[in-house]
Amino acid sequence: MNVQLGIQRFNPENDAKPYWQSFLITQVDPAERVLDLLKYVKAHVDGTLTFRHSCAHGVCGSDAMRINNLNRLACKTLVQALARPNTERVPIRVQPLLGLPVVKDLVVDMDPFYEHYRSIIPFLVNEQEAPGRERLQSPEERAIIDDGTKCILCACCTTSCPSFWANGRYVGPAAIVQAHRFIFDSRDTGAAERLAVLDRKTGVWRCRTVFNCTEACPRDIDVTRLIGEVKLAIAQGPRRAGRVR
Amino acid sequence: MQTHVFDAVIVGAGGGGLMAALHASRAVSTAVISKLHPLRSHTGAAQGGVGAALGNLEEDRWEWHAYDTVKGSDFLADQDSVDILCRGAVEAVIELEHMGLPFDRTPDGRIAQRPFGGHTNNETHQPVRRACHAADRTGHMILQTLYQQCLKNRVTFFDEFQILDLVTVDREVRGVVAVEIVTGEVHVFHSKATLLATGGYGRVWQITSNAAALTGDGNAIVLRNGFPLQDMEFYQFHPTGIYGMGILITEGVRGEGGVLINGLGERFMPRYAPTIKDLASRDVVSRAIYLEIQAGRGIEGKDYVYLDVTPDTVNRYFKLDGKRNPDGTWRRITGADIESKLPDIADFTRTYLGVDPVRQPMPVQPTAHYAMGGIPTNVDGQVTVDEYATPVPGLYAVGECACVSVHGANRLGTNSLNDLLVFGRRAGAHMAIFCREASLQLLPADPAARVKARMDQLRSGKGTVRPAALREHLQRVMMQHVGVFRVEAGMQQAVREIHALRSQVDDIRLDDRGHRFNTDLLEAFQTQNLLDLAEVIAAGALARHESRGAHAREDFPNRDDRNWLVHTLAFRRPDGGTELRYKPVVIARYQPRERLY
Amino acid sequence: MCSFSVAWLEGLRYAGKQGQWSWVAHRVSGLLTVAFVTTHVLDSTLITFFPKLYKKTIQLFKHPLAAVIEIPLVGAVLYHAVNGLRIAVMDFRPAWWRHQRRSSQVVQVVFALLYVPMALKMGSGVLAGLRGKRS
Repeated sequence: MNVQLGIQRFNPENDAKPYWQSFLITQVDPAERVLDLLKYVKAHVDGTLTFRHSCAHGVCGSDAMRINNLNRLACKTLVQALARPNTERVPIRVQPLLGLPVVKDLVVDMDPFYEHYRSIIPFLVNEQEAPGRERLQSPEERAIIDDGTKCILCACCTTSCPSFWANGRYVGPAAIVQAHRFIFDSRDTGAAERLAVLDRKTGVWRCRTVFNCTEACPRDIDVTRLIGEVKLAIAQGPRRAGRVR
Repeated sequence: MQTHVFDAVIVGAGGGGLMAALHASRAVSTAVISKLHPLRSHTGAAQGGVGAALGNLEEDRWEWHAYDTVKGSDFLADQDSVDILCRGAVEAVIELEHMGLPFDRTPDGRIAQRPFGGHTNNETHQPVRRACHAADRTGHMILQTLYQQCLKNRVTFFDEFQILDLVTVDREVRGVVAVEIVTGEVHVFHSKATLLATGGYGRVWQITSNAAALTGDGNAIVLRNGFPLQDMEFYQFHPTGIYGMGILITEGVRGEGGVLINGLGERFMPRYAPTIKDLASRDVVSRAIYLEIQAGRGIEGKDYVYLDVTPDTVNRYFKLDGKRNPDGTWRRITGADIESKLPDIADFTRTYLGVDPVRQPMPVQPTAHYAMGGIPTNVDGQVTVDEYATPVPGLYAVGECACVSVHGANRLGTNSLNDLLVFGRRAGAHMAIFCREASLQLLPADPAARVKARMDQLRSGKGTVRPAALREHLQRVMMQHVGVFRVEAGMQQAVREIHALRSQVDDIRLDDRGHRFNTDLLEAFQTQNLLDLAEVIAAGALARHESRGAHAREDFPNRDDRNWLVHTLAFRRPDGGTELRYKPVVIARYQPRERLY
Repeated sequence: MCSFSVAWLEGLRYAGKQGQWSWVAHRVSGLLTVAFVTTHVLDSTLITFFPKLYKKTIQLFKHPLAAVIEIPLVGAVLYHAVNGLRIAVMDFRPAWWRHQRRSSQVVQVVFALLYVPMALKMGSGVLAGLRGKRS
């Protein structure tokens, strides 16, 4: 299989604006990852190509990028998934995430994203004295927060959201998913504070229920559902919203 | 160049670094510098569980955990450290739960546990449920929880800073030199105490479960600064990596009942470990797979076997093995159990292999996984420099880059996570005490001079060698000659080739000569680290004339406690060669005996 | 966090699924609805302030071209209403997210069922008006 790999390049040290560069890669195994192609180009063709990557199997969240106009992890996207029937060359176009400033090539400045994450009080709040053993939690209570705990903060969801593109002050889906994970944790007592943050103009109400986040999530989290549950928690109180499921 | 001053500087933001940061930051000013954003650290890839004898599902004791660990280590672990590990693990897991870690739960609301390789009830010798888990993303949850707590504690983070060197004066450590990746600017971190938690170096091998970041930066820097590395020849190959890719398939799959099947359709582990079969120690299982493949019993004669967790197969073997639940009914699993207990594994095999683990077996092969060896430390994380365990003032190490040694010649599954929790906490607490008493020593005139010269040299190199070519060559050589099975001639060849590759480092030519986010430059630096470590690994392995744990020699197939019940200390000689010295093993309650599973 | 124009140009290139295109349609139909409503608010205010002008304006609305423009405007109002209901339902029943792709399709079908007859009726009205003029 052959791949025509287009990469959006931009190095502010040298370039006035982004440009496209194309590489023809032959004899590609269909089961190869897009990340493998990028690593191949960097190792053997052009060492200046810059992108983040680490675990290469979808758990560290480093290599989120736009691949053929969709946010995905380069290490979880196989070439065969992008191939169209009866084409000699698989066209693959890779761009940095949309909505965050580009640092270089496929690397974006994630600081605004992490700042939103920090704004939702992303840690367990419980000032009661802990028992000698574990705090008890039923499997059912644990199941409510399961989806949110899968989140690797790769930013695929937040940077697929039209509301975030239009207004970077919106906390974005990832931060809300992380908030959900604590708001509905039976051991946490900080729900009111978090809900107050998310009730602001920059909070959940900027969500227009577009579902781009859910479609983009490489961890198959029902992002929009979690946002919806937080909206309900603000409107009706966390208890009631927890039951709606 | 910028200079920052902190009481404690921690390099690396995986579980070990964050745990130490959390505890140090409660008392002294603490900075964490990491070449990845903390949440990208490889602790997050740990899957199956963290070992702690909570006894939530059946009787268990930390002493049993300690014996299993010592036995798993093939008696090379220091038994005083192991006791601290196994007793501390219980406390550490409870501490994590209090911090909010979303462990899976038993029906009565306690932390859920599953069986794991080598963990047994010491009276019945049957597998015991000791691995505390959060689905198959336990490491991910530990990493997130610790990072959350560090944010709560307002630890200062320097994300995406690559460590380049230590600042040392008369073998005393006064800080580190690092480069801010995004700008290329060199920063000096001036501190009273420095802790290295830089993780492993699985990237020395071709097939590995390790992330691209695991290039042993801390270890190589320590070595180049004249300090020793311990037991580097002991490197664990995990038996079940995804064929051809090395991505880890947790031992938890076998904990849930999965079995290994060879090309004849036979479950072969009972031949190698009659009592606990597929849940034997990792070194034992990896060797068994290699021997099956060598005997032509790989799948279709190729170099892999099947890991089968389909309910039909698992339930059949549960019956054959007489596995019952506490209430006397047969143990059974369903497709839904696999989906809920091993969701990530199911996702990996579906994504990368197109294999549905509920219906089909998964093709697996051993994959380079974990360094038992590393920077020698005492039980407080202080780096030691000789056979007498003399500590270096101000230098600490913890986690995979360190060697306490609790893993000896082979680590048990689940013991990496409790290692970094228990010793991370101890090191953090010790640093806090140390920093309160110590005063800030002066920096030398230009602490970053050596590093800057090296970076400039790499940037302006006019040679012909691509760093990737060196790295790929090294990885092939190490896979072939310093892998699961080793022989004299092969290792000698490896030593020669590594030496030749090292001499090519000065001939490196980079495409990227800029300053901004120059990963080309960093990869060249990391390749040099891998080469330095590979040389020490091969030298240690070549010298050790026995087979113990993960170090299996075809020409010396037996363990030799008379001559080799010792830790290796490897030093870099001023002329560039390796000097090997040996240090006694701490033996306490458990005398070495033959290791059978 | 990017400029408005980049958000639009690059964002519209983003290969979102039904949800994204429903949202785009919702926005566009929303703008049209606003235009529609504003016009009517404005022309109604004319009764009070400029009664003469009001009459002229009403005459203008009877022009066949205005009638033709009204057809898509009514479509916009209809689509915005039906899709708005869908979003409201999704917000009140997050657990129904599973049906989100189908829900967009349902909206399209319901919209078509309501709008096609209406548009035909309006269209034929315009044609009849034109014919009436000619004869």
